[in-house]
Amino acid sequence: MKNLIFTSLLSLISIFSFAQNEMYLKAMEKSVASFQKAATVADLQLTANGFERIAKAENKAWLPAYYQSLCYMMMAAKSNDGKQITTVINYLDKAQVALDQAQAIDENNSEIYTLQGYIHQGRVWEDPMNKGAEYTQKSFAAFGKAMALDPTNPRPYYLKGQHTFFMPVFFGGGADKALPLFQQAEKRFATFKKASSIHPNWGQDMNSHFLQRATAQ
Amino acid sequence: MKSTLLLSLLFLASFSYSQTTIKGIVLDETGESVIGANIYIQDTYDGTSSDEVGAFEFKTTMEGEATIVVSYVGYEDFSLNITIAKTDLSFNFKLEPSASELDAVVITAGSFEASDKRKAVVLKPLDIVMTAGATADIAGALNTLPGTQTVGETGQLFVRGGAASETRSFIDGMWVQKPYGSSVANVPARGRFSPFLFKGTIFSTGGYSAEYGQALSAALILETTDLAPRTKTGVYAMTVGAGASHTQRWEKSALDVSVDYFNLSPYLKLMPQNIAWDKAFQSVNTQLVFRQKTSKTGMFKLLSTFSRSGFALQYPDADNVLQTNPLSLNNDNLYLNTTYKAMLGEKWSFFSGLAYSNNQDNISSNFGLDTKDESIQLKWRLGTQLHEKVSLKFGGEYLASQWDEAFQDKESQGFESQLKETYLANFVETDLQLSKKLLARVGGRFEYSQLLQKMNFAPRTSIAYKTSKHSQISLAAGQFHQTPDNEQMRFQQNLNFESADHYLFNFQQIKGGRIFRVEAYWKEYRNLIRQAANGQRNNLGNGFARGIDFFYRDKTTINNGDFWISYSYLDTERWYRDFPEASTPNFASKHNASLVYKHWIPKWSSLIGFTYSVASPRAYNDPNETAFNAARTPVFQDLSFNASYLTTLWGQSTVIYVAINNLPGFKNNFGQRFSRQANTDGEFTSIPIEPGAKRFFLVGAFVTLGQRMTEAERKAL
Repeated sequence: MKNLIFTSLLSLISIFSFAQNEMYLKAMEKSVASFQKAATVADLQLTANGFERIAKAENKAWLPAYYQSLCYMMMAAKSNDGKQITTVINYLDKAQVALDQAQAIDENNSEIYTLQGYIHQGRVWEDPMNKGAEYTQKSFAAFGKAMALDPTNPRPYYLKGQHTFFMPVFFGGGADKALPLFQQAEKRFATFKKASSIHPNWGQDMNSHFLQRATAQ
Repeated sequence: MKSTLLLSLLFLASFSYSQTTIKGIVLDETGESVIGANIYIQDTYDGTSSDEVGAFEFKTTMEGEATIVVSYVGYEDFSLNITIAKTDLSFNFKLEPSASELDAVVITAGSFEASDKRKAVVLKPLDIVMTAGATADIAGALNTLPGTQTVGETGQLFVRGGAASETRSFIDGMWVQKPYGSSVANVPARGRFSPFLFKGTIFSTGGYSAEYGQALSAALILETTDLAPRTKTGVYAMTVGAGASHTQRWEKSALDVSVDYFNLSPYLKLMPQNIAWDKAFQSVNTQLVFRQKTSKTGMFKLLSTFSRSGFALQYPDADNVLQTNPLSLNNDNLYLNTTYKAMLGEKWSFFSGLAYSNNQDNISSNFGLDTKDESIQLKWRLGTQLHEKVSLKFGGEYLASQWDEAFQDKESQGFESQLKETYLANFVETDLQLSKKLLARVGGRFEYSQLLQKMNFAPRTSIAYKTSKHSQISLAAGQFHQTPDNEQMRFQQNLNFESADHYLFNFQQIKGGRIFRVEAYWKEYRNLIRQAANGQRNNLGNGFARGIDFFYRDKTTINNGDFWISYSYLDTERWYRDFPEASTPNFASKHNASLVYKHWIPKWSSLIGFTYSVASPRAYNDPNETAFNAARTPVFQDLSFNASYLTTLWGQSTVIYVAINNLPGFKNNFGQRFSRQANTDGEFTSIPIEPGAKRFFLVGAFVTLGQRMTEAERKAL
């Protein structure tokens, strides 16, 4: 009898946790789909909100916080027109807080280090003259760590390439320096297999775009 | 048993399918709707975003006690405990802007900060390097800020009617005995320390912290950089010298060594000079900088510089204007500064420092004058957060110094002087965050001088109040004491500290790349050294300085352009030293203004800039006139230009730098130097005091080797 109670309880719990997991997957899939469609800052804001809600409820999963951070990072990038620095700083700060949450859950994750490098890159935009050297250094260190943690991850190569592409020749940047990075990224994008339907899988289009530009120059 | 459990679980599950609608509106502090705010029930997926009018609506399957959270970028998270029954709920939320670093209230009275530390600073470290006319000299750049008076013949900082000796420089909290290179009267000096050494500069033109003492007018507080980011080597060549440096970076430490050699002789031969040089200025400087990260919060820093410099020239003789006398100066300077900083546990921060300075000047002319200054300083400081709103710091310092001078001339026997000082000080200071908008700082400093056999106490206080999101007002008041300089002390030691009381009122607005500041001040000098008719010195001197400083900086209006305008009005008089009456001293000018402009040209990767400075006439005493200090210098004007071109040479990052000071060749005059005795016609003859040359040109190339990819980065590809 006791045994029966135990098994039924156990099965109930697993049904519940399965349902819970199903709910998580569904919610994430929906949000990832809207992330892929998001074109404007407003779209990204709504998507970020969706990820934030999941992230706040799921404190064992790194993906929701990671995506939330990524949304804010992209909002910062889209707002970076030189006229609304405070907004850019606010988005970067928010992206960093969310990424710290993801990092606390998964300490050694190549994707998280990649995004960290991207956020550091954003700090350069705040004030290129005064922050350029320091944050480029930090950004490249994070990309280096991301490459070491997962040599098949194309994104650190793509983002490092992008940063190098826009960096003045004087500081070791330029199209010719960026080209091999885009090529390395391209090679990895071609064979990259995402771990699940909700794992990071972005950047390929932009990389092809930059690869073309860098080749043309 | 089993059935009841199952039933109740099913019951629970079925309940969770009943839904409640939650709706409402989100507004900001001004009542505007917030678009895209996130509204959700904590620990559930239930929630939504606010729409174009700030409205939201969502359904939840939650029942009972819950927390609803509203969040939006740039605003404080808002949360509310609610009870969800089956009835629909409606809310009006009002968000408060988050207190970001930009909005925090900070004490700004009296001080200009150049750093990357805080976002709301007036200057960045690079601004000091890139200011035209300053040729990368710290004092030169700070002279474009309000509150300073241009005194072109010295190259030093004069603040709000104070003499150069009333401004003290500190590196990492430690006193710098000789911040300027050695020079003789009316030959301008340059700062000894490169602006590239520092990540933060606080230039306080009054009302500064109780941590700093022995400066009646101003404190220049310099903070050195931390670990250099990477290993690199640099070399440079200029029209006046060359140098090399190497930085080695390890994981937790970094070492930087550099050597500079300056020789003005080729330049002086090429350009016409007003000064007849026998031997052009030459110097060799070596510098060693070491940093060690000792723990997560611990940092040990060492800075050591040694320089040897000298020159010889024909010094015009005011007593016999047809004649010049040979004069040479040789200087050796050693400075050592070590500091250690760390957190002691979670709550206490600890700082300790040791500085040693040794300076020797040998002047030889138709007389000989050898001066030696040596000092050692020890300092410690503890800081803690007593309470969320109250922080406290306190510390102490010990300084031992000795000054020796030997004078000989052909006629007399010569004489020797010596002064030995032991100085002790303690300070305490607390910051009280009285409200989100109101910050008060109260502190005091106690000092004892063995040379004077006197002690003093200096209370200091300042208050800052945030008047709006972008603006604030600050007030400061304080007492400042300084031991009379050696020129006074050598004659007589039974004297007291000279003192000044500061009162400042400051308004500052920072909004979207534009900074506006205005500061009014009143400075009362007391106990200044006065020389009585019998040659006896006393502390009966007094004086005042009052004025208003304006500063406006704009980085937004002109695309890729950045400019600042400073204007200072100064009204000052003092009755001290050998003055027969109260008078405006020679180093004070009523009006000083500067316009600094910098423009970045991305296409050429070049930064160009110019600085225009103007100062109203200064008073000087002409003994041929009966009235004291009645003569006036002409108006001072200077227009300087500089350009930096960033490029690569042999694949290495290179900066080509060009600077021209006083491009239009304004004829500046700083007064006259008079003969000591009247000639047979009863007249005092004089020599005009003028810049060494009308213009100054500088061309240089700075190459940084090793900015390329590291081995590890290459391998990663």
